[in-house]
Amino acid sequence: MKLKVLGSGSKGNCYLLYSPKETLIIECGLPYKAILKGLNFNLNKVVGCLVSHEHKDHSKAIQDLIKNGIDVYTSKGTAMACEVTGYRVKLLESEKATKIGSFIVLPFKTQHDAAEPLGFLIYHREIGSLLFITDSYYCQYKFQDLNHILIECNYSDEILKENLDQGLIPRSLKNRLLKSHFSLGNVKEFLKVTDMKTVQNIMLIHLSDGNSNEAIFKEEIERLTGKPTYVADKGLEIEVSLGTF
Amino acid sequence: MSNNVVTTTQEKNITEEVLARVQDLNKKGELVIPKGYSAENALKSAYLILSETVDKDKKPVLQTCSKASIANALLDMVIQGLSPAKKQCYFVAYGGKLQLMRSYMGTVAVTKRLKGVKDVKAYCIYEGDEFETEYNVDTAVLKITKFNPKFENIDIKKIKGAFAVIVGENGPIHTEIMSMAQIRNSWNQGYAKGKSGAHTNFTEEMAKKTVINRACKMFANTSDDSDILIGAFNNSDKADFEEKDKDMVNDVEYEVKEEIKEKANSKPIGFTNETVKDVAYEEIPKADVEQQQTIMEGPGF
Repeated sequence: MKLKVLGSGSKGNCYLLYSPKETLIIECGLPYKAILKGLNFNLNKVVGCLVSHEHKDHSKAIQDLIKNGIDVYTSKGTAMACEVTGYRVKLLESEKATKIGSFIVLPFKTQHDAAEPLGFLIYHREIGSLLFITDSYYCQYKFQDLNHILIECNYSDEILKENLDQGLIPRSLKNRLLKSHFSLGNVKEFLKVTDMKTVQNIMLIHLSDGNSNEAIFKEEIERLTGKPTYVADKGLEIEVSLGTF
Repeated sequence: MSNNVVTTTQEKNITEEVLARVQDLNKKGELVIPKGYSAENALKSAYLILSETVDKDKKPVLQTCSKASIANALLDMVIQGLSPAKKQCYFVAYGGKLQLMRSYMGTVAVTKRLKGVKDVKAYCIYEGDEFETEYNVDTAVLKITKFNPKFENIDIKKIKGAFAVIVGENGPIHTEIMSMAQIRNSWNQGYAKGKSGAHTNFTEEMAKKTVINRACKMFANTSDDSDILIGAFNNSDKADFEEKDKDMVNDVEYEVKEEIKEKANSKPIGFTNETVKDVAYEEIPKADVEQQQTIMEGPGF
């Protein structure tokens, strides 16, 4: 199975988990056409789309997906905020697993300034378990036996401080960041307490345009964990099957 | 010909550059554009006027004046909220530099825009009109206590003087009185020496204009900048705001740290063997798979 990044960051998030048999879309914060193109215009293997929360960079195409017959899985709060209804909208509840094709998805609450944001623990027999956390300034859960980690790494405190001092970003934005996004420091803390034995790779997603540094983030996480670390760039594709080292 | 083309594009760049600069300053709060004033419109009309303005040697000012002086004159215009189309200002070239001259109308417009100013009024005093003034020693204010104009006194040859009053919310704020001799002296400074057709035929209007100009100049040029350029005012305000904001950031930072310390990475979650097993055996029907794989023969992922 492969993981493909169609977009990551505040300009739009969308990731595809796909095998020749099935495709699971994670987030739909891109124009529908861009998602369609990423799917090679092939919708019939798509088993569904997970949406973490209503912010446009995560949910932009939600209506179009529904219109085109794709089931959307999200929390009640998010569905209401996105104003989507109908049988294509499947509601998820925190800590209650759901089957989507042959994926099992265990949603859990995240900490973000949205209606009812969720993160996802996704299991598939070909890949083991994959953790997806975005737009959350910390994570209250503790995970075990993870095989792949996709985690937001939005900003670093140092770069943010520099930008603030230079007046490049307003202070009010810093407050928002602090209470809505994962900092490099907090990601490190999270990874330190997470059992990394079975983890094969880590992908850092949703990096801030101005308050992050790809190279430094990748290096610091790699040094800390000793695991291959990727920064989600548009178009990046990695193998997420089990046991491929 | 080719020269003209070059000038046109260069000029466009100058007005656009000034507009961008103005918008930038405005966004940062370092410059406040007067309410109801469109910098875009003023710059566009300034561009049209400038392209036809020549210096004393009849050469286009856009070619002879330095780019910096053109930009400064335009910026000066926007800061004061003047419209060249309404003849509130005009551009004059002096020794290779473009300068903005505020007209009488511009001075009145700027004055009227000042906080607390409602209107500017002026009247001529004719022979036979009752006119009395009073000076208040305590407030150092010159006040007109009586003005009784009579229609039959109106005669441009018998103007004794004129006065202008800047009116605020609660009555007059500033009064300027000039005798006709003073007015004529002031005209003498000018290019027409007070002998133009306008001065001869519309003496009363020109007299009013002169006294208004003096009243406004005194008032507008000595007013604080709170309305036009709010620099100093804004800076002190900003410092205060930043201070408060800083505390707020620290609070949020502290709050977030505490919250993370208390709650992060503590609640165990995962798949039970049951759920995983359940799904592990769920296969997509074989026929279906084959069919889908045929479809896959096209361009793969």
